[in-house]
Amino acid sequence: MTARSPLAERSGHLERLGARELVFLAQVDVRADPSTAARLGFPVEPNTVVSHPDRDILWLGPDEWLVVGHAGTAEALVAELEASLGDAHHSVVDVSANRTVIELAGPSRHELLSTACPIDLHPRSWSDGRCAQTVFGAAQILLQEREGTTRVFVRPSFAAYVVDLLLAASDP
Amino acid sequence: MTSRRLPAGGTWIDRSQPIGFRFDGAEYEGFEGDTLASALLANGVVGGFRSPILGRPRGIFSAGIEEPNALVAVLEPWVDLIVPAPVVPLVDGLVAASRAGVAGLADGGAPTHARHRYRHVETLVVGGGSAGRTAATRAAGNGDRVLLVDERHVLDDPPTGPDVRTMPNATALGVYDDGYVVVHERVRTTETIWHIRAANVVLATGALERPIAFAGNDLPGVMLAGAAVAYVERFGVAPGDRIVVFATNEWGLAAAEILHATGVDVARTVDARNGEAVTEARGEAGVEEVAVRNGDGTIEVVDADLLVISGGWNPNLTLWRSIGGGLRYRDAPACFVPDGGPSWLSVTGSAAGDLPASVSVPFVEEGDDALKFVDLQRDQTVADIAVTLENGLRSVEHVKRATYIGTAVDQGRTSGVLAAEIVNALLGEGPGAQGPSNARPPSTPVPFVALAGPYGGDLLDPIRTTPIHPWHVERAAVFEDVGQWKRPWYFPLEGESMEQAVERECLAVRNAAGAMDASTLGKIEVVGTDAPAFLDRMYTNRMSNLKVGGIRYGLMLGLDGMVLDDGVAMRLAEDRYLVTTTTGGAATVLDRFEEWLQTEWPELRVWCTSVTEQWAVIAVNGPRARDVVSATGTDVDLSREAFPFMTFHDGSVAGVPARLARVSFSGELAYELHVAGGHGLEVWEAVMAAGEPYGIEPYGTEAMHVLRAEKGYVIVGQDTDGSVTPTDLGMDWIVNPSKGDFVGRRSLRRGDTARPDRKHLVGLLPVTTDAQLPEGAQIVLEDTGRIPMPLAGHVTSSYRSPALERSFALAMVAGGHELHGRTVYAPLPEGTIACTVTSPTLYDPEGARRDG
Amino acid sequence: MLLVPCPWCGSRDEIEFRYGGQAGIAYPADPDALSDEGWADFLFMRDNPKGAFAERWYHSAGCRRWFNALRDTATYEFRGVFRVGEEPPA
Repeated sequence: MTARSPLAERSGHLERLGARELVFLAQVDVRADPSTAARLGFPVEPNTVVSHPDRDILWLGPDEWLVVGHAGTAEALVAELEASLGDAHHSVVDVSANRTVIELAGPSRHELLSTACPIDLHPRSWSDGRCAQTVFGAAQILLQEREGTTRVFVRPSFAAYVVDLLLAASDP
Repeated sequence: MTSRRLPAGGTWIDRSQPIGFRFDGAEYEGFEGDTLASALLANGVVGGFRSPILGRPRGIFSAGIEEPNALVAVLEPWVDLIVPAPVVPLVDGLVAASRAGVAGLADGGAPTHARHRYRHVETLVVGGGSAGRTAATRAAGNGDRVLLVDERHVLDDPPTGPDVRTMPNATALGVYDDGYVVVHERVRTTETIWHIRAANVVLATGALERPIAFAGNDLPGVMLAGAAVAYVERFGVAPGDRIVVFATNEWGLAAAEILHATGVDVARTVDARNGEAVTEARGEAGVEEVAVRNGDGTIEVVDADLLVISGGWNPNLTLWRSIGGGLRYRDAPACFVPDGGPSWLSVTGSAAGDLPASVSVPFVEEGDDALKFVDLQRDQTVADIAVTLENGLRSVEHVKRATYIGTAVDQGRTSGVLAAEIVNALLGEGPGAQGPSNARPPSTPVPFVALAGPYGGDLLDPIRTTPIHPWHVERAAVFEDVGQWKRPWYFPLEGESMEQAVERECLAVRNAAGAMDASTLGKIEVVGTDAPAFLDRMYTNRMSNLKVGGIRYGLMLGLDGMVLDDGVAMRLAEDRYLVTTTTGGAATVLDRFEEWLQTEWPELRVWCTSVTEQWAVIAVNGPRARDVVSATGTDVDLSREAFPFMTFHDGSVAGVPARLARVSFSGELAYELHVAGGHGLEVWEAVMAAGEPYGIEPYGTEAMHVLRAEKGYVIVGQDTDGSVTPTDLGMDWIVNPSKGDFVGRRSLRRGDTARPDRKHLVGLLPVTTDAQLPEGAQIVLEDTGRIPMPLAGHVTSSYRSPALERSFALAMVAGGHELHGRTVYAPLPEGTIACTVTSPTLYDPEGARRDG
Repeated sequence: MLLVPCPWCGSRDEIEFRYGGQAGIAYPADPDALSDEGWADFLFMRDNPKGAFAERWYHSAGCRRWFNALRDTATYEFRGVFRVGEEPPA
């Protein structure tokens, strides 16, 4: 299998931005009632992340979560989640190819994002363990602050635009 | 020119750093810290400007953004085609030219880096004077993140702190809802638009000095008192040798002292509070003498080269008013102060009305009203205002529109309040009866290149591509924009025209095989025990009785009964469907699903998840499609018996997990291959390689359009426009009358929806088989040529059919279902095209080619 | 650019939202029982008050939840938010 990641051709540009593409992370969209999810240890506070060694669980909405795991674990995650959710009204969908992930590192990454992202990324409001769905210019993104990096989840078809906008908006 | 630079003094300048610059072709020198205006004054250039309409000689009038006369274009090192000289900081290599109030467009690109930035603060302070600095320091003491902006290039004594940032060269362009403020910062060739969101906004924008209107008040050498003092104190420049001071207030008269202390000869002070006034300023190229009325009524003429005026001060409230802040008049300082605005917005300092007492003297009685200038940038005088009032106008807003006072680059900073007070006086009403007209953002001119920021060229809108795109590019496909997507339009061979390429692609699909990238289609997983019932409510036909493994085409209506979107639903399990939508409708349909589920039917047990880009989709169409997919390698039994039309199977293709679906938009045997996005390119390459012996061709959206049109399949948004019902399309068969309510059902029963003369979808065959109807061509029922012609409809799609070897079209025509066989006409500039009305299904109407 | 108070995400820029018109217009229980005029009323007629207005908002680029808000149509000030199915705040 020679799968191709959406930003395979842009690694040079990403490096210039202090960034890299995290390829083929497992991503599973889970929908369930908040009480069901709380029982499973999913985050109930809006825009927060519960982290485990093998997965992060990101709050997307009061009844929607994105479970993010290592590359190649999507099938197993789907099976495990289906089993734990059992008879409860739920939906588990593999969305691993529906978004790609740009990891931004370095002390100026929040300023870089603030060239086209309107949410408050100052340490007062934004820190490890937070996530947020928002926009970057004309693209919808999902942000996650994680161990000193910022992950930008974006649809593959918008990924090139996000990289181009980061390049154009940063200082020459 | 005599130098006007004083031997010492000037708090903003650094005399150890001389700077050379060019103005109107002549070379000059100034100092680091100078503005263009102060440097010109220092070099003895007071005049040299012209008014925009009357071409009258004008000179530097002020020391700030309110400057109405000394407008320049900066040509190097950045380009700014209309800006007041007092706000242009002097930099090495500055080249500028005077402009009579009218800008142009930059010749070629400006050497500018334009950035946008978002910033959140608890307190934004606009204005770095003492009141602003105090407000910033206090907010910082509360632990706020503070941003202080000032439009000038030097900030005296800026406040400091770990979360305090000060920004000179930064103008607040507008204050908007909920503390959103747009700030324009320029540092040399870098323009930044700051999108600030502040919990509190403090306006410390100061006050602007009021002029007085008297005959000859527009001569070079007439200057605001505050400006004269600023040039002396900040820049060490004496704007004149022998001056007259005309003031309505103590501060203005005190200015005389400050100027006198530098060695300037104060020939006369004129105190309006004692009934004194300047009745006329006279001179050729500038002020030479000033006529003064004494308190006893006698007139005295005084020689002078500078006439310094102070009519009082107006709080600078452009930003306050633009967000709806109100005004009220205060007698003591004779000005309008802020009164009532949003809770998060406050005003402090002189902008709040903390100002010296003044009498109100907007204009002087003596002299020719036509020489008493009110708006220097519009060349409008007291006489012009008087005429509009004589013509019956009363409101300041109407006077503004009749005279254009306040509408120039300076937005009435020195003319707005003045004009209002003149109107009040001429109408016999007291000062403050009417206030100045409203201000609107941007508060100062801002170049488009700054507002555009990085969003130019290819970044104007996202350009979206599929995972297979690199193959299309390498194959030299010509692309078309479908919303934000770049989709292959056609794949020309070397030297082929579009017509030739499309013909070849269509014939390949009809006779052999074609492959199309259909990845852009919207895809939604609909999961839950109520998924079947939910889809029954969203589509016109029933989805709840679709077998697992089956596919059904569905039509979606708006509540108004009009066709909104279409697609197919695949039943993956009892409680699970994959629904497809049109490329352009993907987000809309998902949003609608969520709207109904969240706001109307929260009791339904259904979840929706977008999977549009989870799946790349390759459509293989043509009589050899089965052979091609088989040769690509699959574990799915492709035989007709095992794999009927409108069913799907999960398995693998080219070694990759895949869902294969028998759906056809061409009417030929077809297999859609759904694979995870990352595998899209490799599977496409495998299909093209495997299909080569069978004559496979890639085909684009144009061929796709022709093929489906030959079959009479509609494209929502091409043949429909939001005003078309299923009956109009001849698709009554897709509306299930016996299932329960669905979105749009009630509207289909409206009297208007049932009218027989509604436009219906028909096929049109031009009588001359190669005559091509333009899309959008209007249809009439009679060829009389009589004007006006009653319009019967229009052409929605028009092509040449390689399979039928003729041209054809689809159209919406009034009463079309009853017109089959009739001749209708498309009147066009080059001649009328006659057409026969037919059923829209022109090719293989029995559907015999479907199973290959 | 309004600051819209999403009940889940907190205040976000207006650009992340879609406006949904008047709140509290329920889909009719029996559409067939309505005359064409009654149906048109439901489809198209909405209140347009000056002052407090109960309206719907959708956080389309955020948590993708619908919610209701009481907003002053003259000053644009949000007076409160309430969930689907709840009564507007007093």
